Amino acid sequence: MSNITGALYKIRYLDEFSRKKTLMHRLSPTIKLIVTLIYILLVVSFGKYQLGGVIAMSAYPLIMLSLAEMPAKELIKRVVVAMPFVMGVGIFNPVFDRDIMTYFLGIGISGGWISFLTLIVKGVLTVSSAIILVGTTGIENIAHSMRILKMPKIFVVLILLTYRYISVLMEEAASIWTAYKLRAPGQKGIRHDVWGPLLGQLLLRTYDRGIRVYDAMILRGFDGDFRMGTAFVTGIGSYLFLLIALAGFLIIRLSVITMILDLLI
Amino acid sequence: MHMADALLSPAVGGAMWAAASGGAAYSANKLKTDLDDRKIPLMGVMGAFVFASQMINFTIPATGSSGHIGGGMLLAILLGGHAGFLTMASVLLIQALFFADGGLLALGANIFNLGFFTCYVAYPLIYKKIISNKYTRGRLIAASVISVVVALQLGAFSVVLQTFFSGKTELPFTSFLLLMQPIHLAIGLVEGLITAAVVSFVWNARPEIITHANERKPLKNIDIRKVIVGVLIATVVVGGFLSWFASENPDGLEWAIFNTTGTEELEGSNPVNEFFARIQEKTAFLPDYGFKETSEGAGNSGTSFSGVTGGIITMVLALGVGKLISVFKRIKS
Amino acid sequence: MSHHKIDIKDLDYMYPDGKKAVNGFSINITHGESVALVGANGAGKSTLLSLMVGILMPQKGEIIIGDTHLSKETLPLLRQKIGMTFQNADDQLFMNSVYEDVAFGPRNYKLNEEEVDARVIGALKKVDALHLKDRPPYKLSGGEKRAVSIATALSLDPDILLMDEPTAALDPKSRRRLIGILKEFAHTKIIATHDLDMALDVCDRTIVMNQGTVVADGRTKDIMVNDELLEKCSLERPLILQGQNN
Ligand SMILES: Nc1ncnc2c1ncn2[C@@H]1O[C@H](COP(=O)(O)OP(=O)(O)O)[C@@H](O)[C@H]1O
Ligand SMILES: [Mg+2]
Repeated sequence: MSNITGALYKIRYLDEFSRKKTLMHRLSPTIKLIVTLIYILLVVSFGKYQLGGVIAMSAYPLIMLSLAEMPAKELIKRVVVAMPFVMGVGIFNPVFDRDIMTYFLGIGISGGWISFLTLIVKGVLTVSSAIILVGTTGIENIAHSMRILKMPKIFVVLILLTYRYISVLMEEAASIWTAYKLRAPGQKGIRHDVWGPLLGQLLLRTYDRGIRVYDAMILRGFDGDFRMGTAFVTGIGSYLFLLIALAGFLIIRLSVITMILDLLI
Repeated sequence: MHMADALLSPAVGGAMWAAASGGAAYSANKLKTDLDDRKIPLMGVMGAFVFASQMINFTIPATGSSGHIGGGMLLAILLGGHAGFLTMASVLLIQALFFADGGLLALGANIFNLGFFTCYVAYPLIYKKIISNKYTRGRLIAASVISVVVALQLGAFSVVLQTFFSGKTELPFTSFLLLMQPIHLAIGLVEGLITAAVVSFVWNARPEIITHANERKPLKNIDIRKVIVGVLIATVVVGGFLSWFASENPDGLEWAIFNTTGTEELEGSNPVNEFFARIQEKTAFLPDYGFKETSEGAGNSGTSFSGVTGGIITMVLALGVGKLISVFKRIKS
Repeated sequence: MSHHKIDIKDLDYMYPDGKKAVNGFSINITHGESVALVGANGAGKSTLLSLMVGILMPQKGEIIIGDTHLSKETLPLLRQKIGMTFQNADDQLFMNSVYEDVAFGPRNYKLNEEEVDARVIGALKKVDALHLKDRPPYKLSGGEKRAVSIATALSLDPDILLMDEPTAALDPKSRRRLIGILKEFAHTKIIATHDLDMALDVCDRTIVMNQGTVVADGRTKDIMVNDELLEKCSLERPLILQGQNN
């Protein structure tokens, strides 16, 4: 139950947040989507020992957070949940890769620890950038951008419909769960003899709902072709953002600052 | 389990994206020509159903632990392979965006691992074969359990391969394999049993939903082998191409910037290529952030540390800029 | 304006499982009338409304809207004239914001975006819900969902409105507001309900349905005090008329 309400909260928070009107929110969704994808690609393109590089890449989400006025807490909550798998797999790096690569304050640090840290930072950054994208853009605008980027229409429509009914179905699932709990206190999950009926009932109701939704659509002239509103007008600000972001990524990726540092030392 | 961005290399992530979008384009195209429009909202609400039902925990008898439904197989059973695949893809996309499950680059891998193996492999080749149009409770249960288990085994194997080929971890291939497959056997059994329970309940109450008796049949059946072969070819070609680029440029940087210009094979025969070739040469000498992969022991820790320091300085700078923005915003309002 | 009259003759509908939900149903409704369709749960009200918009096709009998027989061919045309709201507004609000939802219909009729915008704003104003324009559906109360679902129908500029239990599950204040809005519409209306107080308030005419057929048809004022009839159909006198003699 708590995970249903928790999940519902997470979705609705981002959904509501995406309706804000900060500078970031007003940029072209398509450009934000493209910048995010390039960013993620660049982050993962760093080699496994390039810890400094991925740390530098944190500049983008950090600045975006401020521009979008997004509370870091909300971001961290989501990022934390995403990390266990990465950590579980990555923790073997220090185990298998024990060659000392460098010394820090006289303590030898193995390559494994460096690659482990790199992995974690990568995980945090890629996940953060995706969440910042939704938080500043919203699912409807992302869907529009997907259309502009030529993704199949039926897929885009499907995303919008699925998203719409997540809220409704989560509430139904929560009430089923609560009803069950009330009659079976102290159980962690649902007993196996009611697995079928419990989810099955919800499924049947969902199936009928799907049919009624279709009826509602045809009554309003739906002919199989989903028509969306006009596309977002991409202003100068959006192009400027694209330019600045790409330039920034390049500066970081080509380690310009390190170079300067090297020259100074 | 979801594959994560951090564990992927651009080459593997890109290849999986190509495979997944190939699959999505194909199934979308198929649906466009064969689909009964009624199915579109049905797919949407079913996607939401899978999403919500994943939140409900089911107690596993005699173990004290609990599991939940996976979804891909159930979607295929209810909606058919193509519609199931596309619906699963949309569920995974929303999970990546709102719950940080996986990530945007790993989305391709996740669609492949959780959608492709269920809807395009286990569903047509196992589930349908076991049922072979004779619906009985026993067949439904066997078909659901076996197909879910197989699909999950394939998915888990695929995660191991993707991780291995990305080369971001030191975990040896076989150890990872021996870790993943048994765990997913257990998970698969639970998922399979829950799926079977739901499917047989629905079949009892409303058989036409499971037997698709009410659906308008497409004129001709789609050859599932074509899809599988197509997706595999796309994966191999794109993966091979990208990893070739990546291995030509061990830093993994150049391919991202230069792969469109094709500097390497075209010998600097025109000024543009020459220009990029020169940049490429230059960048090859740039110090990088990391520690030399070949460095023995401490190596020249001076340069290596300036790498990390450079990174940290950049981060601090960004933090400062962020703070400034916030302060500025507060003053303005 | 005779083209908005509704003629239903001897209509039968049986569900695939053999349940006969509509059974020899006939009515005649003229332009601008406001009709309450009352009857207990399972009387066949929802089925009848579904038949009137071609979601279901009758096995027998005919439906004539204006001068057009309802059939597969004439459906697209007739659906433009008829707006319908469902019992559960969540089934009808399938987009991710109020605006998008109300715009769905006009866009399907390929109006340009300017015209679509005008329709959306106009429809939302009529139900007093313009301020909800950018809300996601999960942030609407029951009453607001109802208002918006009516707007989705109004945006197509229908002549006839069919509503299935519009006041069900509304709190008293939202219900009041909705009644106020409904009273202002000049459309031909058929409202399926067992909220007899609302029927009394909004509709001059009432048709009582039981087991798929018409058991009474007359002025709402008269029907609502016919205790014997109401009792027979598992209905009760409106609160406001209770304790009064006929
Ligand atoms: N999809 C269906 N399949 C079979 N029977 C149905 C279906 N929908 C409704 N019925 C039955 O038809 C009768 C009329 O239902 P309905 O039109 O929903 O009544 P009302 O709206 O007046 O409550 C009821 O007995 C109901 O059980
Ligand atoms: Mg009803």
